[in-house]
Amino acid sequence: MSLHLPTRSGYSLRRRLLGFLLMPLLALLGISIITDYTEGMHVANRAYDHALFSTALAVAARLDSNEDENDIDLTAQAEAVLRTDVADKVYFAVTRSNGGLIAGDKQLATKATPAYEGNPSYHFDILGGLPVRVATYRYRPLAGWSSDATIIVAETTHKRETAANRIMITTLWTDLLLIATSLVVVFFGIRYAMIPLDALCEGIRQREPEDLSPVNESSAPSEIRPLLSAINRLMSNLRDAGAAQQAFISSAAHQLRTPLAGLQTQLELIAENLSGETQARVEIVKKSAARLAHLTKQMLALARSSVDANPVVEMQGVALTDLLESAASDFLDTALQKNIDLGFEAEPAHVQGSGWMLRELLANLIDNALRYTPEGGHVTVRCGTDTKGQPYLEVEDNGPGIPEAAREKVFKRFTRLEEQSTEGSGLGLSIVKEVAKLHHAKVELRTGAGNCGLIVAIHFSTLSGLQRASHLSG
Amino acid sequence: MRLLLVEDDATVASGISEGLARSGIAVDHLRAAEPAESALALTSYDLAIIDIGLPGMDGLELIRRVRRKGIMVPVLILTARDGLEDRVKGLDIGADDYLVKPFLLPELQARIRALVRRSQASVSSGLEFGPLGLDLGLRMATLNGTLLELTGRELDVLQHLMLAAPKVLSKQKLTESLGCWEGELSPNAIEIYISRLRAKLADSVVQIRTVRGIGYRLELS
Repeated sequence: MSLHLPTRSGYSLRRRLLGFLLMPLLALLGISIITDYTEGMHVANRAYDHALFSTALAVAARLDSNEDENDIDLTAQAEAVLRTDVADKVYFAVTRSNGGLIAGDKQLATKATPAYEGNPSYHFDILGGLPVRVATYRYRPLAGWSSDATIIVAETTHKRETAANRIMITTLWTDLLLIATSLVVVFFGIRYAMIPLDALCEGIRQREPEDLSPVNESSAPSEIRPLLSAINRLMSNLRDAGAAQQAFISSAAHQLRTPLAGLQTQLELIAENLSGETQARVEIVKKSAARLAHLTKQMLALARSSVDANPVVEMQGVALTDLLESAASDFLDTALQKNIDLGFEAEPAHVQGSGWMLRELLANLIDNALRYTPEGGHVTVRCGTDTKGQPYLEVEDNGPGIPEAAREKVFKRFTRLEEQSTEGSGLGLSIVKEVAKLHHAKVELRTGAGNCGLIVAIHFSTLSGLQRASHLSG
Repeated sequence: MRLLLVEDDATVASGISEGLARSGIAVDHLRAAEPAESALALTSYDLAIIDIGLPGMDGLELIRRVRRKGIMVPVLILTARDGLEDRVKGLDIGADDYLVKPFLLPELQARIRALVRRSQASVSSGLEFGPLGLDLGLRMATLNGTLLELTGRELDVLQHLMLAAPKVLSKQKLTESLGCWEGELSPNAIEIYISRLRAKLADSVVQIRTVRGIGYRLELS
């Protein structure tokens, strides 16, 4: 089954539907105008013809009162009355059956229709260069005429044309109004019909890039359900592909760990027994091995903390002060090695979350801070609740900081700012972001005290755990 | 000190064995869980380092069986996995600590010392930290074999510091564990005990480091 839709960028269902409707509506308008006009003209003509015939009858009546076949009892006054019309010029002629003119306008005498056309009969003609309507009436007067007299009455078509124009304009207006109304109704009708689509669209647009959960089909109009189920099928394929990729990264990283452990321990043993240039080289190799180990660890952590790897996160009450305490043990030696003053400001705060993930998050924040703070610097880890009663976790350093323009970039994987050392994996803040997202927490980067350094703050919402729970059950 | 290493990766195993041997720890190495089970039953080790990913029976099962037999040797898990479930499972079935691969030898050594110190404290009621000795039963401390003049509270603080090392002991935990005897103990009081202890340890290699805002750590300089 294939449906060829135009692929040009301006393609719109609404425009297409309107265009589709406009064509037949215009055709209908054409037909309607023609039929309305002819019908209107027909009715108008009949009325005016009737009036014309009345004039003919009036002339005929004058024949009755005259016994002379060759004359008509028509005074100049009566004739003036006959010829009087508001808009048009009226002509008349009375002829004998042989064509001889008895009275009236001579030029009209030849315009009579043949008898077989009916009595009276009407036709259009040209008289003195003007279009006229001609009525022909054959009549045998009572006064003993031997043959019929032909009474021909004509009038110019002024009032008929006026009537025709009026009919034309009225028809056109009503029909145009009808079409315009239809189009407006259709336009808004389509817009109304599209509301569920727009809502759906907005819902999908506002998703996080990693959110591949299925779109709710049941509330969608039945027409677009096939589209939605196709989208959902695609989503589920993407999800599977993502999960497979995560699984691969995870298992690859696991496989790397044991040989890395072997490499590191053996290198440490070698380094102890060496001196001079070789020792310096081994130290470089040791550093590389340490970086490799760090990167492997980070990749695993990132793979593990992603939403895909954690369809369900076990939430428990986590005391942020406990996190700080274990971080103190984990990072004190690193800080001492770099002669960095690592300090803590722990105010009681609790969040609903995953203990190991939050530990991972804090570890990455402190690790970054220690990495980028020069010797003799300060790193302070804080937790507590802010003025709104929301728990937070933050790490401040007095290192080089991150320029405002680069702050969005640092959350991307493997991003390291150029001017900084190349020791980090570039994954730390990605892990932080993933874990924060799973906890519905916000990550904020701001400049540290005294306008130098960097503060990375994690703002939890007090409902974090509940939100997640309802998100999963919903 | 003698410990058993159960690790199937030869490179890691030789690195650990050699590294520990250099710091005076004798290491017996086995590659699989089955012989390790009988070795642990027959020999009294000071510590067992067990890798989880072993061929055949895995490390977790080995720990479970050893504990079921009532062997209370301290167990340090070595693992290539550091997911929550692995850690929790390991600690639940009776391991005492875990170390995630890859690791550095000094870290392994520090963990081993801490585990052994703690297990010795429970067995012999004695604690050691470098030249510092503490007898829990007699409630007395020695430095380089000489008796240290300590008050009861100072001794308590020192004991907690020794038990926690090489980890940082938070002021809060210290306050909580000391305070339950005679009501609340103020943070200021803790600071006074610490400074007195520092004065008494001043001439030794043992020092108490203040970790700003959190607490203290006992260190060897």
